[in-house]
Amino acid sequence: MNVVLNRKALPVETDQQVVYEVASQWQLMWWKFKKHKMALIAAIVLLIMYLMAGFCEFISPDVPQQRFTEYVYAPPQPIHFADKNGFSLRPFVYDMKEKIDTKTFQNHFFEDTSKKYPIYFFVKGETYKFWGLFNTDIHLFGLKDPNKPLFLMGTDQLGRDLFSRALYGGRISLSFGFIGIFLTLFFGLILGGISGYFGGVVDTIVQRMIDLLISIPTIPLWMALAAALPRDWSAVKIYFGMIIILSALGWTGLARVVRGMLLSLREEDFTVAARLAGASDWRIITKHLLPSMASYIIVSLTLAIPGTILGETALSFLGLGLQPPVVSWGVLLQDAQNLETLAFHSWLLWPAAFIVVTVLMFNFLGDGLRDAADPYK
Amino acid sequence: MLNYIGHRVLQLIPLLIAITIITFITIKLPPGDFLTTYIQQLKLSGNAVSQSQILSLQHLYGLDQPAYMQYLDWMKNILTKGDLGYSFGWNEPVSQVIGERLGLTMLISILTLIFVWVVSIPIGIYSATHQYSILDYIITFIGFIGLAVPGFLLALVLVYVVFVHTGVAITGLFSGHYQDAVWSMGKFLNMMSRIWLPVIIIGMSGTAGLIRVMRGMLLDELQKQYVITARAKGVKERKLLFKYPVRMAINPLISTIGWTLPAIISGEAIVSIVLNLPTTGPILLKALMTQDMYLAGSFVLILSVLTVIGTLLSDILLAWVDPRIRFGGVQE
Amino acid sequence: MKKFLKTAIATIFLASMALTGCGGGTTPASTTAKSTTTDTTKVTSTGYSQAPSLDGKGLPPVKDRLPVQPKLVNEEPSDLLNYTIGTYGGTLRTVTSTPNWDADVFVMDNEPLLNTPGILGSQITGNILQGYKVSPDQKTFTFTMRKGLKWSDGQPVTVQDVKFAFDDVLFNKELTPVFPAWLRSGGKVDGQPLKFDVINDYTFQISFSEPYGGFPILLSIKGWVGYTDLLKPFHFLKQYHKKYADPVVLAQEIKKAGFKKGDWVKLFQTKDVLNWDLPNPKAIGFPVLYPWMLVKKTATTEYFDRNPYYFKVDSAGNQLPYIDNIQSSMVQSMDMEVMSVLAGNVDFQRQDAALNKMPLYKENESHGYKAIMSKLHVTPTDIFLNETYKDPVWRKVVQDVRFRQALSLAMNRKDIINDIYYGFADPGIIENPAFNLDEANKLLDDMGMKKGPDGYRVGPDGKKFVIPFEVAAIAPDVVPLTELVMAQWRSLGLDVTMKTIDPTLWGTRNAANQLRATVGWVHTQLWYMGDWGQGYWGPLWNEWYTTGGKQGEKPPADVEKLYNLINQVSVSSPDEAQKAIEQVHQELGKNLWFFVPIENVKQPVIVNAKLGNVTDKGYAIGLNFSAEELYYKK
Repeated sequence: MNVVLNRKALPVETDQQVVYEVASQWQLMWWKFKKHKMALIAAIVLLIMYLMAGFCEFISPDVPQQRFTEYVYAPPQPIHFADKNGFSLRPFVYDMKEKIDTKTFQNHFFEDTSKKYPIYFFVKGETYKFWGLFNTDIHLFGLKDPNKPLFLMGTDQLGRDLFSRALYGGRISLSFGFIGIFLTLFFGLILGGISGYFGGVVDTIVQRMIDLLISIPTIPLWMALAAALPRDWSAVKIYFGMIIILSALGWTGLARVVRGMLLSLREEDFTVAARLAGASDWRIITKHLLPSMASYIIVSLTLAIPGTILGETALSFLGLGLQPPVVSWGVLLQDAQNLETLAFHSWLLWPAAFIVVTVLMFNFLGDGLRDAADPYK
Repeated sequence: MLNYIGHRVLQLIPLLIAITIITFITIKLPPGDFLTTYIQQLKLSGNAVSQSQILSLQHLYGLDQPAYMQYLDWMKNILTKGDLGYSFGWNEPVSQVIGERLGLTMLISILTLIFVWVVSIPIGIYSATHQYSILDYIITFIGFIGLAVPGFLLALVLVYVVFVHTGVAITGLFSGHYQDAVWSMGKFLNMMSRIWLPVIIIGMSGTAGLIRVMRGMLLDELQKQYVITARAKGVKERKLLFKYPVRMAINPLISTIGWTLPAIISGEAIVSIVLNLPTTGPILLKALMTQDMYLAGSFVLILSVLTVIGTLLSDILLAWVDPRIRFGGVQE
Repeated sequence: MKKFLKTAIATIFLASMALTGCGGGTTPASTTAKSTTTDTTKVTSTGYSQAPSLDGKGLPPVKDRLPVQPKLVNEEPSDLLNYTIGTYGGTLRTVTSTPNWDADVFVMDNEPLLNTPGILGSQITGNILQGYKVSPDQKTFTFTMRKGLKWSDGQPVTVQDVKFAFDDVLFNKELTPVFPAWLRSGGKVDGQPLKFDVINDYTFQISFSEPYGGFPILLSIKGWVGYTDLLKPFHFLKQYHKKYADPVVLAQEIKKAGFKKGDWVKLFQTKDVLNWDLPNPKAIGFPVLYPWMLVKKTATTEYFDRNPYYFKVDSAGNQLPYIDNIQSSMVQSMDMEVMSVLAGNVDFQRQDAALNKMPLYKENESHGYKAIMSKLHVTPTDIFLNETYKDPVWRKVVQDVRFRQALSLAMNRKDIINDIYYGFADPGIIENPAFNLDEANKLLDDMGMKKGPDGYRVGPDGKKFVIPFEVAAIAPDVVPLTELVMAQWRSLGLDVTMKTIDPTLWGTRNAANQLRATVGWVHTQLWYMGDWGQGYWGPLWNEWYTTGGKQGEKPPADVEKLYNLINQVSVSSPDEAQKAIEQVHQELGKNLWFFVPIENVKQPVIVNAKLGNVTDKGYAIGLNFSAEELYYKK
């Protein structure tokens, strides 16, 4: 039988396929990333959160230490658009009156419909320093009279607006997430890479070093650092210092995994081929082997950032991390971590919601990035 | 292989010595010592502690000796008598403090480990094989939520919710009189009815990590040549999945599996504190924070020994699972 | 408040003069008790009765187990508690979150040699000791013991036990390297140690080279002292003491305990149970005089049973305590403690019961307990500026009384009381509680602390003046109060900052004179404690005074005057002490050495709803001390 080459049957390259084949590496990654819908959503949400944290002074109606002495433990105010006069485009809130029940020792807040406070945008409120550069008093939204109550998430024991504090807290919690991982990444990759690639004596030394380092209990280290760092440093600076120092010790997990994978990868054909082609060890490690592990590295990075955020809350719980008056999500969570709050002031749990969303989004983002950087697809 | 194991065992001894020294130094790093905390606690509650009593206590606890003497005493007792020392906070021998809690700790840890694997591995595999499907998103969402919610907060919320709705206060692993009762069927059943709470809360924070690693590694493997070849040759999908790719995907798990052994012994600390579980994690935590020297030191030593052994086991497993791995230097 | 205290003290003093004089207990007499109120001044029946749980245990009859003249219980004075004769039985459950330390049980069990009802310090009666006499020059004290008093293992308590404690423990240089200051003449660290003499089997004498009128109150309550320093079970401890033990047996015991050869001191210390050791495992089997003794300890619970040889009775001749057992459970966090309370698993809680949890307590009272509001015995959040901090600029500002006056005027007591204490406190009146920002600002202006371009006031060196608070979360109100005061003082234009640090670090830094501003509690309301926060607001001065000038720094004249006044309080008899207390208050009010913004803070106490002889009058800790009076109503 003759096999006739039917020109029509040959696959013709469509325009789309042509574009695909000539697209740059970054475009390919973007397209792959877009396929993961949750990751897209996650990226957007995280972007919004970081923007809110970045502009927290502007977006918050109040400053974190501002106290409203009449509104201690006030619940979140409902925002209304309509009252008995009809619908209004401008949202407003009612004032709140407190009633203390002397028998049950509980205080309740009731809406006082006689006093209405419309919400305006770009209002004048408490003065603050925008990014530490210049003083201003414009807030994104608020009431005309800054002393009247506008509590989107209620207030705490000292009558401070939780929404503002949650935003300010986000600035610290979200930024600290990034700091620690860089040193971890650096040491983990380098040391794990060397250990796995060269094997033999180098591997032994590095591995035993790892064995030594992971045995060190971190809690006394943390406590000792807190005591040893200069006392005139602010609490935030001290925490920053501790994270840096501890990240320099925390590379062991990543190193060990990197080493394990390298041990198998270095026997792969492409490695042998590269060596036969005369590539230097350094080039082989960085250009050929590490990208093969990109998937694991990305997963581990995007697990590490929320890990730092959660670690901060755990440290605050133990009394070792940030403490009041610093405002971070971990510190705010401490106010919520007791039975009275769960029973009577459950709105103080809002920072937990922020944390949950952030961690979730980082995880989905991580999956999306991993898919995007996947060298095998 | 035997050669390799032999080398590793030899390295063990200087390593362990180094570990004990560094651990001891680290525990004593924070300012003050156990006595400082203890006396401050007494003074704050209004008790008058005289200078003489402070000196006596220092002598009794051996804290009036220089640090290296304390270290040598500790090591001597461990090596010659197997005596792990005395816990200042509990006023009992360290072996008793740890021993009383070891069994339950291991039970909870192992149950949690099983829970994590049973939940994560199927979800990870499903997520890799059905990428971008709605069910994939939903299941991974559930898997991730455990990590996202801080365990200690969730524990408190659950305890409170259970209390409000049933009037039962879950103030520990056992209820009421079962607490100190002798082991019986009743006590066992009582424990089983309450153990699900800590296992789920602790386990949930571990599922996210494992799911993502499984998914990531499996996705890598599934694109490789040998999988496509096998598929072309007609190997059934399920067999194809488990025979080789999953084995490769577990590589990072195996690298760190050695470290699950000490984790089983020490368990999880913070959620255990909130749930008042009689496990060793909170004990270690408190010992480190109060500088209960011998309790903390001996416990960390036990964990380190297990870690080092665990690392060795990990390396052996690595070589066994992936026949390409050789630990020697790069071959020319 | 002060006036009430004065009249109360006067009344009680007169009453006590009539009742007990300066010594003596009571004798059982058969006067009839009134039908409605219980006459608690005399034992009214001719015989004694014991708890049914002790029947059939093969113990000697109760009359033989009690001393010839048992102590008629008087832990709560009659104006604070309407005493009712109780019924026997029941277990009292408590909860704690510290291993080997249950503050509530410690206070319940604590037995001093003499006692002061209601811990008010206004009246001193016999307790373990039957009574005492003071020589007119207040240098010699003669103590009479109770004939027939027995240890919890049935052995008699005699002067031998006291002699052992003095001659063989306190005066033994190996066991007591530094002789305690409170047992020296004048209470001074370099004073001459006391002289101890045995008069007869049940009487001993202690003499000092200087008048020491405050000695009896030291034996009755100061520092929650029990009896263990001056009274030890000789029959038990002699086998561990080098002077009395068989050397071979002693060497064996030392070896068994794992100590170095010849280190009998360590052995003795591990066997001897001191005051705060009573929840310690080593207390099991140790002869004690407490109402309840430790019998069993597991990983989570401590069990205390009644002491069959306890020496107190009520006026109907019933041997106390009424309650059979105490059960102390250990949980690992404060929230678990609260959970246990809410579930009705706690029959008594004072130390960890907190005001901010009152709504929770009230909501769950159906589970069988009551949350009552009593009085806190300390001023919980006093504010200290360290005047001996080694920075000349800091000292110049802080040692100026105008600065402290300004800060006091800037504190809004009403805000503090409402926000931190939910309204359950009064403004402190030792110092002027006025709130006047204008006057405060004027004082600072007068001092020359002008506001700089950044709005902050400058110190004498022209630089911004900073008040850096370093506090530890030793109680739930410390951190919020510091935040509040920080905000209040910042309104004066001062740069006030705050850091929360670990409690041990805080203690260490304080002792090392490294803190500048901090918050803590002071036993201001208990005059006999001699605690006026001296270690916080002037550590170096205090060190100078307590080491007899050897260390630290010599204080200025008015501070030294204050220290002398405080010392005078501790060496004077209670009624003389009152005058000195007055003066201490005046000095405090004038100089504001530290800030006492509030007083009379309420303290919640959780009690089982069925408990009798519970009062909310007086101090919460006073109720805690009187646990042997509690009983379960049928």
